Amino acid sequence: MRRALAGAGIAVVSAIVLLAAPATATADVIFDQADADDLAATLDEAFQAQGVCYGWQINVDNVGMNEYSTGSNFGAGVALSEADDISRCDARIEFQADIRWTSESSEIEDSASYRVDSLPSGPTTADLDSLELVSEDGLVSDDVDVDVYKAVSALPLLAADAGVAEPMEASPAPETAAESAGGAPTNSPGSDFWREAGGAVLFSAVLLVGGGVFAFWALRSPAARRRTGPTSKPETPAYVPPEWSVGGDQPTRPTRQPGRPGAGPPGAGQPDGPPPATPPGDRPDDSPNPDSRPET
Amino acid sequence: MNRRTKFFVAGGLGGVGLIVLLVAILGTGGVRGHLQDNYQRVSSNGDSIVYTSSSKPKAVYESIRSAVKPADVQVDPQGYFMRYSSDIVAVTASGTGSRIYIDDERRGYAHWFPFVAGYWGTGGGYGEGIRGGGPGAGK
Repeated sequence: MRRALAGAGIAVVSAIVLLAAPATATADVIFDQADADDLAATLDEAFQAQGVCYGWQINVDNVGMNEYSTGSNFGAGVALSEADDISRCDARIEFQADIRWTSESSEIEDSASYRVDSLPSGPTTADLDSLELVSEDGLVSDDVDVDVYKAVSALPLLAADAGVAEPMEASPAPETAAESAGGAPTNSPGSDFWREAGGAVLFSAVLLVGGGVFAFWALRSPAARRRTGPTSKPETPAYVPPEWSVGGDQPTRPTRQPGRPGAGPPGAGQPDGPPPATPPGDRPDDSPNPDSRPET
Repeated sequence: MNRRTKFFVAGGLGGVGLIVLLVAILGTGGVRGHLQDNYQRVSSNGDSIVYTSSSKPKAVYESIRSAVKPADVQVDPQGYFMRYSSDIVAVTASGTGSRIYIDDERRGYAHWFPFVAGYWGTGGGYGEGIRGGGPGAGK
């Protein structure tokens, strides 16, 4: 009875441990099996010609589930670190990447990193980057398989360029091979001119339209008037009104200056002679204004 | 902004725009012009021309790609393959240097059929390109 209880306890603990551990899938998360086999065969051709072993190791955190894609010239699913014939390799070059796919509801963005691991020496990640075949953005896109395929296929080229391996030469195939297979190019790649200069042409169009708008605006604007700034000489008006003064609550009216030249509009001036008689007191402006008296 | 300033700005924008347009038009000689100007011609057969270079294939590929951006690139352990609107360029090793092939689209596809079939056109026997793509769980 005690032994049975102990066995049940072990089973429960094992189940809890399995549930707590991250799940691991076994299928290739990047490639279909046929593509992985094609890539492994390509690497095997390079291995036979160069004596250098090539492989790929992609680890994917797929919303908490650990998945991977691995392969080498020894076959799809066979990592270089697990190969039995690794002693046959003059050098080992592997494309490695870590990709994290998050759920749609997560605020954390997908992320990826990659590197080229060469033993004992060989091409570096910078060498691969210079080919512009793979990027971190590409590894989190829907075309991750294309990027990985190209990056791994380029490893033998990089090895030859780094002097680790002999370069492999290619020769044009007879045209009859494609004809017999019914091969023909499809999906036109588009204009080279627009791909190369489309941005510049668009930019120039924006500039030309902007210039046209400014020209139209300028034509619609009135001609510039002569500026009269503070430094210009003030002009003397032809008519200078008489001085104005304010006296108490009385309404403002011009100060009478009968003897002053120019006092009054031309042609409507005061008649010569004494001003009309006005009773004292009716002309408050006539009274002496202490404020306007000049100081002595 | 007075009228004179507006005319000045209009002339400046139009002048710079014309210069940019002329540079864009005259500066794109195409991949055939770039190869003719920078590499030694070995042989030709119609639109198919072969050039040679003392540089390694990687350097030649990077030079061509930076000079005239291709629509697509395929790589294989044996070389680099670039697709343009009406031409296909292949760069492969030749001794310590490189050999550069340029063909029109139809002949180039046939010449490099083992490397580009399934990617740039039809034809079985060499796969039909990448078919995978992961589980689609990512964003």
